[in-house]
Amino acid sequence: MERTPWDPEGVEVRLNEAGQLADPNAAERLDLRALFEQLLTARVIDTHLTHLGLPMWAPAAGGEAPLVALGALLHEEDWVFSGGRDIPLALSRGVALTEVLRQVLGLGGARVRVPAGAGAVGSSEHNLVPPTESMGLQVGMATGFAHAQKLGRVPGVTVATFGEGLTTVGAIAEALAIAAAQSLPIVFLCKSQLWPDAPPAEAGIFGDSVHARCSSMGMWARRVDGADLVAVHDALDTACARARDGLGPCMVECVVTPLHRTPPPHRDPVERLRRFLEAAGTWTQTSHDIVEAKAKSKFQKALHELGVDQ
Amino acid sequence: MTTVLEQLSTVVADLLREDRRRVVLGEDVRDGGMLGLTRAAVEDEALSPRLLGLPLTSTAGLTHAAGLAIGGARPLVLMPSVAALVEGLAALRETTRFSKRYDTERALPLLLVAPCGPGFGLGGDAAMDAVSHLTCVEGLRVLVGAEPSEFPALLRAAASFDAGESPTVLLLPRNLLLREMDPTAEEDLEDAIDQVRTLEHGDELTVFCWGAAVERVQQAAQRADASIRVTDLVSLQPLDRDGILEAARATGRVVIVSPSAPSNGPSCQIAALLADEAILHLDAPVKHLYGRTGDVEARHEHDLIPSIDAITSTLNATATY
Repeated sequence: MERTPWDPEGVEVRLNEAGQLADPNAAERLDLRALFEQLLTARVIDTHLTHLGLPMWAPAAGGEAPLVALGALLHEEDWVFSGGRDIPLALSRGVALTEVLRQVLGLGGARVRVPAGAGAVGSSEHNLVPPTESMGLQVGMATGFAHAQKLGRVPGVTVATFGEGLTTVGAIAEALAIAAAQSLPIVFLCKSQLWPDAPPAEAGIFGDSVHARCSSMGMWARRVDGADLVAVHDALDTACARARDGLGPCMVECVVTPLHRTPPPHRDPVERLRRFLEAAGTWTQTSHDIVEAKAKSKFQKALHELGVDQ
Repeated sequence: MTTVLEQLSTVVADLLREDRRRVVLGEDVRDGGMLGLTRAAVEDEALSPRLLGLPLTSTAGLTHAAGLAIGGARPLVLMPSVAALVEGLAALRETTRFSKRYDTERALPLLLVAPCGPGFGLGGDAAMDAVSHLTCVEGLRVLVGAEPSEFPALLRAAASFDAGESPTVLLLPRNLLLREMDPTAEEDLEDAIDQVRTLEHGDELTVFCWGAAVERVQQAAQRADASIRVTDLVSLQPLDRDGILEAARATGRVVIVSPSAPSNGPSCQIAALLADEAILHLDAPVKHLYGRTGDVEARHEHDLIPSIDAITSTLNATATY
């Protein structure tokens, strides 16, 4: 397949643009059908939330794979300090959709108060800390939390999620430096948006990658195609295992493509995995429609429970 | 005899020994710390894993400490200056609001200790006390010491958090830190640290003051022509509203002597409180006295605190209003 400006450079790929596994054994431990259902459910919910026209809302479509993969890898005792647009992860951790919607829609009765916009979510019952109002400070808190885990010999891994734009904030650089200096059990998950026409000035990105920056400070880092759930899962699996084994912090940079900018279909993680499943004979349009219908019904039922008119 | 700083160093080591959840963060703390507050802890090898050196930026240190507290630790952050706390105001705000936002039962047990005010010939931001900035952070407990021999006891009390106290800043006036004290005569605090303390029991005029201003007010009260009640606020946030009202009503005349910038802060809150709830008990306007303002050069830093003459003059004028 001919490369396009939408195809990221320097990324690890396991499931290629055509939905073919380079190594047939690369996904043997994964229940890809179940993961596909999670991806598709997350997509449906994001699409419906986008249609609500919420102020400051930023769609997450195209960035689901790292969150679904992470959700599948984390243990109950693990903690996540979220950077926003992490609804698929919240659902994977077991946060009720009604609670997610209370927070995202700013309704009364939410257990956790989150900053407005961009799908920020949190749950004290599920060790999911929402983003701070001040940009990026939750990453500093995450390194402190990981430090407490290390000092107290508490099992578990801490994960901090954020987008590439946040890496231009000084607090992130400081948190990365502390994590590396103290060899903390933390995984940094950066969802880097793909900018086919070069990033805008506001993004503050100057040609390098987050992965390259972390590698240069001696941190274990990988840069993977965020449209490839298999590669993302593999990188995060290794990163979490390293953190659990006390081998220090890790950075997993996942290059994701915002779908609202109409990239080619193979940049969509749902479509990429769908192609694989179809070739494997485990996908049909009917099964696809059923998953979508279930997700839509679940979303509408939750809104109804909350008394929200669509 | 020992200096107050040296005695505080002993207390820091004791605090670490008494509770394994405690950790100390700050610049150079593994080498004794900028003020030498971890010198005693450094000498005890068992404590060294809990002395955490951090980069210089306040925001990084404060958010890291908040994360440690979320994870069950009890961080004690030794700041080089109160100016560093101002740099980290955003992190302080996130720290104080965390428990309510995240639906946890207890506030984060985080103690920040910072020298403040004039004393080391620094001038500029380092010579301010930043109280007006810090008290803008909702939910932040702000304590300030005034009697150097009590600083060790104040540090112990501030580090307790057994009653679920809010994240706390303990300010220690620089001009008192190098005073000498008898380490065997460390004083206990006679009153709870959340209540105003009456240092002189006069009945004609009440002075509210704190930190580096207290000593000068006590000297001025001795010179004044009236019977002066001197009260040390100790807790600048939250204020002991009942104690302040009781003290003001007892004399009917009030002077607030502040070592802080005149805008915002406890002076303004006290004046507003008295106007709101004690105006009918007052026989004179509330007088607010403060020192030099603006960006103060090192050679003028002691002028940040009103002089004894200025205080005495104000006390006499208000007493005879």
